[in-house]
Amino acid sequence: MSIAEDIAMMRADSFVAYVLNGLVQASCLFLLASGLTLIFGVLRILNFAHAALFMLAAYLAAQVITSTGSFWLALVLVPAVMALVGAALERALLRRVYDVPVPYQLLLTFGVILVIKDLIKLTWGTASRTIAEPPALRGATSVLGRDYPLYNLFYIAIIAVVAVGLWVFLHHTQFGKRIQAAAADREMASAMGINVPGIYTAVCAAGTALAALLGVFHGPMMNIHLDVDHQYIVEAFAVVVIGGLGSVPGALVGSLLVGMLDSFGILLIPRFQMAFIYMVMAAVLIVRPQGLFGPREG
Amino acid sequence: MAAGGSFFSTRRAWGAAPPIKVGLIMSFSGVVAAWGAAGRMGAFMAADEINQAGGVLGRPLEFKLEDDTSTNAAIAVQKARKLVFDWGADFLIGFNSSGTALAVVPILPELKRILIVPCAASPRITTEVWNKYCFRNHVHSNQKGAAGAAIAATLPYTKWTVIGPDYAYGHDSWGAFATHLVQKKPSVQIMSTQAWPKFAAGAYDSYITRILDAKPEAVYSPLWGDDFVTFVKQANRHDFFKKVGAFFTPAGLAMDAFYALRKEVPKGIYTCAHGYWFEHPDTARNKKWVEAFVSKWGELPHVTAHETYSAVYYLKAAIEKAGTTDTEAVIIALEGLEQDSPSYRKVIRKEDHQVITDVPWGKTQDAPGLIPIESRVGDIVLAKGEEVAEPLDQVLKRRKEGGTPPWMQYIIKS
Amino acid sequence: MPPARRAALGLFLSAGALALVPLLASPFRLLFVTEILIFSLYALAFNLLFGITGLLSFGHSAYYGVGGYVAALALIHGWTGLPGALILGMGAAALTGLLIGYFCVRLDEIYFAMLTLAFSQMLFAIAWQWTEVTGGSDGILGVPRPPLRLFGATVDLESPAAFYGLVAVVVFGAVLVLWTVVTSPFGEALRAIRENPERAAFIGIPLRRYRLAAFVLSAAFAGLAGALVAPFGRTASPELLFWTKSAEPVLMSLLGGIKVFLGPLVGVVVYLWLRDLISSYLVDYWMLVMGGVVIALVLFFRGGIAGAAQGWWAARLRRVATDGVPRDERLDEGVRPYGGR
Repeated sequence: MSIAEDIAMMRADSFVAYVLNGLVQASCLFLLASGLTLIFGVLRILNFAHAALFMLAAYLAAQVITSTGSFWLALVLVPAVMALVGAALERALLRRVYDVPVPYQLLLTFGVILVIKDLIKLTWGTASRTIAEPPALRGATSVLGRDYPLYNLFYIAIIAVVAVGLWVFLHHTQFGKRIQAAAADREMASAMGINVPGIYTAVCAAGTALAALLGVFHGPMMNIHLDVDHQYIVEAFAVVVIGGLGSVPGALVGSLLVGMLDSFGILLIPRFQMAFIYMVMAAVLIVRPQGLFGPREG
Repeated sequence: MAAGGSFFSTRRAWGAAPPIKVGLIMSFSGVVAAWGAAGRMGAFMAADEINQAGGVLGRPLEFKLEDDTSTNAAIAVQKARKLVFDWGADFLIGFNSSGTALAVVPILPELKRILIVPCAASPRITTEVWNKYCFRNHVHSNQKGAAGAAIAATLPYTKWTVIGPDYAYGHDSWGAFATHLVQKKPSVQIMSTQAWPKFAAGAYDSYITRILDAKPEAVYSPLWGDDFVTFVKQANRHDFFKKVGAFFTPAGLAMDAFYALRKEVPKGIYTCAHGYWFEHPDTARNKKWVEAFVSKWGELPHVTAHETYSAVYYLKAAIEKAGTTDTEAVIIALEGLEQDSPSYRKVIRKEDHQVITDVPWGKTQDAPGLIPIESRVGDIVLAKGEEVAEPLDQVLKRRKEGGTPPWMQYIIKS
Repeated sequence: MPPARRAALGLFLSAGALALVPLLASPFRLLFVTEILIFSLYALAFNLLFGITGLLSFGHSAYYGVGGYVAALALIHGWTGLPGALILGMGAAALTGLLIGYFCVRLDEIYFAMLTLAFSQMLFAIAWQWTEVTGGSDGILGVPRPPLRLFGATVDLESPAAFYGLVAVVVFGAVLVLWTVVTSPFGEALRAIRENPERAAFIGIPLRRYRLAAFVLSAAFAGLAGALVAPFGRTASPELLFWTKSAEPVLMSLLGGIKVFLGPLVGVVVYLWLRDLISSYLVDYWMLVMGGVVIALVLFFRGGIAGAAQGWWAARLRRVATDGVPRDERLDEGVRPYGGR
């Protein structure tokens, strides 16, 4: 069947389903990429271990859910614990490498991945696991005349809330403004009496908590095994680069773009679906290296 | 689980008798780790029994495990070489995924060791890439496909499609099934809208939407391991199984999926549980074996446990028949060797080293009394081994010509 | 000892050592040394761009993988013998490097790294989905090693020892070529670019063209390593092209030391040896130890192992010599390809 026929045959309700599938993808990527880009924007470190932290959170969520049976408890507990992990990571390691060349920063966070993986293996073994969505969110509901999974809708909605919340936090709270100031000019912010090291720790904690939130929300949609981070980290890099390194709105637009490409790619040209994201990433870097929303440098 | 540890399963003193070393390479991590774990249980159970009864030729069996990580061909090759050249394995048993098995079979002449494949089901293993060191004591996709198609042909559905993992096993499994189905029922229409997510994809929503939009009457799915579990969870949310007339999965619903899904196992779908469901056949021998397995491991036997158990006994019989562990002699001893496995009678065909044995297909149903899985495969129809075996002339022709199997025409990735 | 004679002695000793390995090592150790040699070539090729030119490629798996796939295709379809497959793999990788490098050398730092990553992932996706040619996710399996015809004699490459011999000769030759490049005026120019691109441009070095040349050379030798690894592992599968294969030479080079020519080789040996050692004692928890080593390296020994050794040696020399030894440019603490942020 040709692409043209596919499109011609597509009914409105199918179109809606693909858009929603794309939004699920986009939500997933955004939650991962926003933390990554936030940390990069302030700390100027591209945290390779970001997806490994997301994976750790998914294992923790699986543990909490198996032990207590409560998805909602995991939703509160896991991001809180992971925020502490993020803070510890910044205090113990990242803080020491702000002034060293990029390759060493990458290498450091790569080392963190190795440690996280083996700690997971030591704690939970090598078998993979899956977690179930809360019973209240099982089944499907009708969207414009088509059944669509309730959990997916919840997932999209909740992450939209997180996106808005993040925007409000960064632009309309005192603390958010301090973060912006610290990101823009470290010395100036410090001179103005802002506790810059404290902000760095807080941002790393917050970025990690965002990844952890995804670990819980995305848990019911994936296989949790020791290699899941591999795929997510490059996709998150791609989104961050497309949107512009350090830009949260950029991460949002990048996620939407990639999510839709993914979803409609499976519909139209499944053969190229995997390559789309990297084609866009390369095109953006060639034409506009600072990304769609990044500030022009130099 | 200690994936790398060496296993010596007895307290008996063996004196000077050197152990017979068997390397077990399976997936102990990744998306089909449950299958590797099951394989270990079956192999160790057999080894325990054999060692307690005096070993093989008076020598104990010693096992070493290596992890092929479910997906990585290069790692599988490296681990196989390590087992033989470094540890000194006399025999190899291995591979859950056909991807890793197909990578290792071509290096067997370099290793000069027998490999018995108890799980990986791509027909290519015993046809296109086969060499004399390679044996399989397990039914492959062509046999399972022939048996499944016989049932599918009796159903009133003509529009068929597939959602399967995008690698050799997925292609071969569907291709073989589709070939047999079209032969048995020429009115069947193989749809061009198909879904081929990659192995370990994790997300299936868009594939599900795509398949449902094409309105197939029946769907075949070679997804397996955690991929199948994840797919079922997502497909249930889309009411997928209620929207298609029939759903066939050869390997998706093995015991690991029953444990993972329990009540969520979709009812009324067809499966052959990869070749063995513990309640079938209803014989004293099988019952006794299942009881022994449950008391040893605390869980119901998975098909792979059954098959590694059989593989170890195959080795024992062949070594004893040959009177030596010499590779060439054991190869000859294995050819044509018969076995009464806990389930069905097995015969290793001389020419392609592929086992000929019966294949059960059944339908999932509620089983509230069956603790802890609460679902079962029922209404089992047994296809006779000789009837579903791939004809020898066809095997020899494919081996001679090499290349890709003829059924690739049914794999459409648009 | 004058440098020329020192170099000749080093050459002689290392060639001798390589020749002795098959006599001393068990078949498994021989496979291990073969793996080390292939990876060393990959890491040294990578470091031509990284340590010497100052460009962090995060997509070198592209060339390693293209070399591997092309060699595997040539062998499995019987287009050529092994030498031909190596040449084809190397050539294809060089061509790929030229195409990709053309776009990449315009960017700096993290953007350069990200663009190389994007291209390599694109090739990974192609290898995965172009099933008819690449075998999809299974890859190309059962890559043969046809016997080598040499001056009328036929060498069977099936045994680990014979294949080791081939790899040793090829890698030794390739490393010599790389050494010649690095020590040539062209190599000097590359180092000048690394130290200060503006200044290099000012003194008339055509920046982009030199960077591109280094890129292509680096890709070609990475491709040669890939062309060796395909018949070695008998497979070419998409993992060859995955980004984790790009991370390995970065890790190994930094571990060994990027400012010393053979530093990456030291890194490869230590990395593979540690992995082997740890996994035989700690079963499967070698990543934990390796992660700790990597973190310690970044925090405390940024010159890498070879860098630290060289620093120690130089400090000793300084103590011995009364009038001081001129500081070697390579010893500068500035082990920072980009001169920091």
